[in-house]
Amino acid sequence: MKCVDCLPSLEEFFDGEVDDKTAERMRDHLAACADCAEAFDALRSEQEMFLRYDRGLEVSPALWQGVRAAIAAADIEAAAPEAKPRPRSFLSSLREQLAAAVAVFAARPALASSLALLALGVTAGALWFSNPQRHTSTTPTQPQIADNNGGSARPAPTTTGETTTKETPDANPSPSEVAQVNIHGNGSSIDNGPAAHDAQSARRANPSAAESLTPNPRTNANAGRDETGGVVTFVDAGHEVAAEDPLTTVAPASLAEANLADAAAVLDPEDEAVARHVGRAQVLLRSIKNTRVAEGEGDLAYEREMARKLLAENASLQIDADADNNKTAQRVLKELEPYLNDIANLRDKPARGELRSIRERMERQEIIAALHVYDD
Amino acid sequence: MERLAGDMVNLDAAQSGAHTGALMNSPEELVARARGGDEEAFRLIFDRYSRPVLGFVYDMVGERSLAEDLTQETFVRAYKGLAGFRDEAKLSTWLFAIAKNVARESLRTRPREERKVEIDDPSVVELKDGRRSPAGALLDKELNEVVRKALERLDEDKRAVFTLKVFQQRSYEEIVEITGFSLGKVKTDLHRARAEMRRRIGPYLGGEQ
Repeated sequence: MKCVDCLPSLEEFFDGEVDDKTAERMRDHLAACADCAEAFDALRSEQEMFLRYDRGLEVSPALWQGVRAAIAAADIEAAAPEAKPRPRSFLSSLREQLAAAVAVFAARPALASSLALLALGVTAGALWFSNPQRHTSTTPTQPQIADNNGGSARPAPTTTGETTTKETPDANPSPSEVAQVNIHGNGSSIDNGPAAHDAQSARRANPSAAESLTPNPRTNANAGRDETGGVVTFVDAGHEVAAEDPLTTVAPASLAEANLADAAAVLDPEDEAVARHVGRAQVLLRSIKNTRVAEGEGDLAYEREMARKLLAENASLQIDADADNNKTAQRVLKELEPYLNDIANLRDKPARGELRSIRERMERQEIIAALHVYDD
Repeated sequence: MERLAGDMVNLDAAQSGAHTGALMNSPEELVARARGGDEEAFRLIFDRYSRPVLGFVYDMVGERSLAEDLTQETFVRAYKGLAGFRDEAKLSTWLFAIAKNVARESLRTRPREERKVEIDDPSVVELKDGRRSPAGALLDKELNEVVRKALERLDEDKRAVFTLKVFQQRSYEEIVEITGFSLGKVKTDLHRARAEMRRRIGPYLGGEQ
């Protein structure tokens, strides 16, 4: 090597960024060339000087407190109820609310039917209210809804299409009144009225209800919020869903006196991290149980990725369980680990035999049911 | 819990694709736990990386209180973005990338000063009181001031590359990931930044003039 070849690469060599062969040649040249060796020493002195640079900065405790406060504020802001819609014309508001309801509950035929009946009921009610000669009466047993404008509770329209009543002289039900009607089935509503918001708050407070690791486009459940404020879908294991949803179409197996079930049943309900981990694992195992990849449909890249993430999380939780001497959590996590490991090591399109052995073990240990016990 | 040594080069050394019980508080584990809402895990991430991030941001913006605010913003964004963090990426690289963007946004909102790179300008950085140490060699205190002012005079791109390489000891590949620059630009900017810093600080180095 000559100086004309060495000098242009000297900085890269100093930074350790040249390949081994070039590095060896340069070392040989530097050993023999005083000029290039001097240039290299100058680089080294320069670096040593810069490493003496002291900005005089220290990370004060206040910095962490500031981060913590900002995160808490961001979480509170993300959890705040949505702003109430501004008054708009009845028809445009009704149109928007119905469109939102259809989008949210599109996978629930039973709810869709309920929604249609409700819409008929509301329309009938609106027409009836618009009649100045209407006859009013009350049905004490009807569910009450709050008046958005701070008025007293009024009977809410039901999903059965019964004649609804009102105590106020308004000619038409307000958009907010329509918006606050609860949809039967899961407590969610078209609009974030108080009751629906409570349901969503309860769901967020109980993340063990099978919170997805990532937004899963294959589920069509209630929308929730992840820790970044984005929308994730939650899998409601007990709720009726469309047949094509592979994650929730199979009812849980019958409970057995398996070791895992025993362990899962006595886990501390406040062990939220483990509960969330188990919930996610349950979703994954169901997906593996129901996959048709061996029949040539799709692949398991998503499941494998999920298994790898859960495997890392499982290891971390096991460390914590060991440190806390939480034997129950240790057992559950240890039972899960081999499944996660096997799934993480599957090929994108595994052979029937590979999947069969995992499925058979799952059936034998009834692990999905056992996790479901803990998940409740 | 045991903390790793403060050398930035080794902070991510434990990160690997495999999980083992021996990897206490590896970046992967901390991220996994922090994602699950474990505040303590995120606190550990903060403890481990806040100092180098603060140093980098300070090098970029040159003001202490602003650097602290921007460092806080960096970690808040990191917390919010944990869900999107790719496990195969290095945590420190990801944090520095956020810090770089935060600093860049701040610099864009500040009035742009004239930073002419006068290669042959003999008016190098002056010390505050206009003196040099009697022996002609820089004491640490003087050095800090000289380096800081010399850094300020680099343009933003060169400053980022220089500080990431020389002060934070990142590899070229990591600098590419953090800055989004091409490898060629990283090498070129680093070479030119070194040359400029050398010209500005060189007269203050060594023995008697």
